[in-house]
Amino acid sequence: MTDTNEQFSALMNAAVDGILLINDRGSIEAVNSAVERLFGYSKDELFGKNVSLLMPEPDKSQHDGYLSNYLNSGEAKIIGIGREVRARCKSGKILPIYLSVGDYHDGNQVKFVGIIRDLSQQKTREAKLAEAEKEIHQLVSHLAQVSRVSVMGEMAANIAHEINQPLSAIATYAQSARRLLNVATPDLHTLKKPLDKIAEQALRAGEIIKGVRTWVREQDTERQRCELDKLILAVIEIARLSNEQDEIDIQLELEPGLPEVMVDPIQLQQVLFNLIRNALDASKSCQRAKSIVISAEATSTERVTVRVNDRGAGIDEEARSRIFEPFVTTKDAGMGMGLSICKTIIEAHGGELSYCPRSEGGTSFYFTLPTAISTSANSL
Amino acid sequence: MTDIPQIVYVVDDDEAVRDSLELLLSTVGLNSKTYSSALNFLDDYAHIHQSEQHACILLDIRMPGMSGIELQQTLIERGSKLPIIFITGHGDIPMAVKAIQKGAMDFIAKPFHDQDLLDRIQQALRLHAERYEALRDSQQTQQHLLTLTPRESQVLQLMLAGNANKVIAAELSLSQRTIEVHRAHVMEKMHAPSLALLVQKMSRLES
Ligand SMILES: Nc1ncnc2c1ncn2[C@@H]1O[C@H](COP(=O)(O)OP(=O)(O)O)[C@@H](O)[C@H]1O
Ligand SMILES: [Mg+2]
Repeated sequence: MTDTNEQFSALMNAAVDGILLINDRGSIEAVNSAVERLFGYSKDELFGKNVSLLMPEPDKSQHDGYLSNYLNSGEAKIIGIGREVRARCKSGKILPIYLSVGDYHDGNQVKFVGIIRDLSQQKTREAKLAEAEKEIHQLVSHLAQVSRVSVMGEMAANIAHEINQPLSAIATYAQSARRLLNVATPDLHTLKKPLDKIAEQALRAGEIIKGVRTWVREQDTERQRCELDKLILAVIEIARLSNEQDEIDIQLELEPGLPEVMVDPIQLQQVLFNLIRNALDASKSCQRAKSIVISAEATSTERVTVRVNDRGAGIDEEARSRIFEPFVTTKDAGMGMGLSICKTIIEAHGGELSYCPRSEGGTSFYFTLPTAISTSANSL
Repeated sequence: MTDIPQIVYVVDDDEAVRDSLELLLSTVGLNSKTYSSALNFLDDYAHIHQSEQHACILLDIRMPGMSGIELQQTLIERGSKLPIIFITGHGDIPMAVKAIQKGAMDFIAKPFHDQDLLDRIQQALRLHAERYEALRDSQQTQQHLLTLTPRESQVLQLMLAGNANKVIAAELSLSQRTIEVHRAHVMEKMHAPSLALLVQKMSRLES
């Protein structure tokens, strides 16, 4: 029968899963190599020991009870079912395992065979998966935020197109009128139509602009108490996402204990996002140090100031006096709506938006906001 | 060329833009016809195609429904020879460049400078006139060719190859005097005052 014994131990030791045999009192009678590997005990160390050695509490002290329960009642909790449990290694490390148990009779004694599958790799995989899933969720919600912030850009594109229509018509009517006057004996009556049309189209353009203002103001309903640093951090993450190649370093200097502000968080984020975008644009076109700094500080109990500082090329001289006007842009693909909308938003919040050149080069755009305390004090 | 009437077709979805262009064109004595959509223009196309006018299209690139670019494509497929000047808005430049690559004559951004626009329109009308006359000339040349006798056709071929009368006479085994008579007939029937013009007419025919 040695042959069978050898075959048996060869089988046992080839198994990847741990296999151990215990008797009806819980003493270990045989283990395979996988058990040694999994738990860090040698066969000799395990032989004759109670199997509870391999269990953490509470199973450890209750295992003898489980056994006698089964032997007395025949009621299986695990036998023939298998389940996920925790095991304990020699080093004290806890191992997630899948344990299946079967019983058999050796003479008139009931014995048990346990098969142990190490779940730790599967568990790390699952954890990684869950992690990745969480990241995806975060990304998706970021993207949703980015699109909310850039809705303004899209809207600006549509407005640009819309407003270009009456503008072209006005230009063409005016040029026609000039031509009608440019004859030896102009018939002044012919000027009535183009002049009426110019007035009409100018009003149409005005309506479109008014539409933008209302759009901005209509969103005022969402004002709430916000922590300024949280708002800034969220926008910076969005800005980092859109600063794809990480060409430009975005730095933060937040004064600790910034007061709360009473704002529409989305609108405030739109303002910050646009200022940061402009700063990134200005930095890209300039060889100087590629970093921008966003800072915030309380300038008094009633006011906070937020700055977006860049080391870019500075404000274009020709555009300087008009950058806050709608549709003023020096960029090829620019809309020129950003600063105009930012200004409207900040002023609607009782703040001011302004800029100054920096002595070390670049531009500092900054805005002030009343703190939440001063806002509620004023409304009392 | 000047006695043929001229017309500018304006296709733009914006009423004020159309109306103001019509007025501007009228101040320089240019006739125009306006359409509020690409489809309206196509509805009228059979009529436009047959009209004997020198014409061009001022076409808005961005319109709801069929865009200016799509209308251009349709016209190309229908073999239209009408020069197109695209009207573009803010940010449509890449589209306009594509349109030019497909054969549009030019594009002009809204709002326009009147003189720029009028210059381009004149250029487009001239281009259409040239295309139109080239077509008419070659049709006439075709008809003139049909009036030649077989002998005269032979003489014409040899003339175009640059042969002197003596060579042609030897080639056709005729007297030089006879060739001179044929040659005079060819020139007369082809309405060509000089050999140079005859060569030009024939080469236009081939192209
Ligand atoms: N940080 C900056 N540095 C230099 N110039 C700037 C900066 N921010 C804005 N500008 C100038 O102001 C113009 C208007 O900005 P904006 O209203 O945001 O429109 P856009 O970004 O579409 O051009 C810009 O085109 C640019 O010339
Ligand atoms: Mg901007």
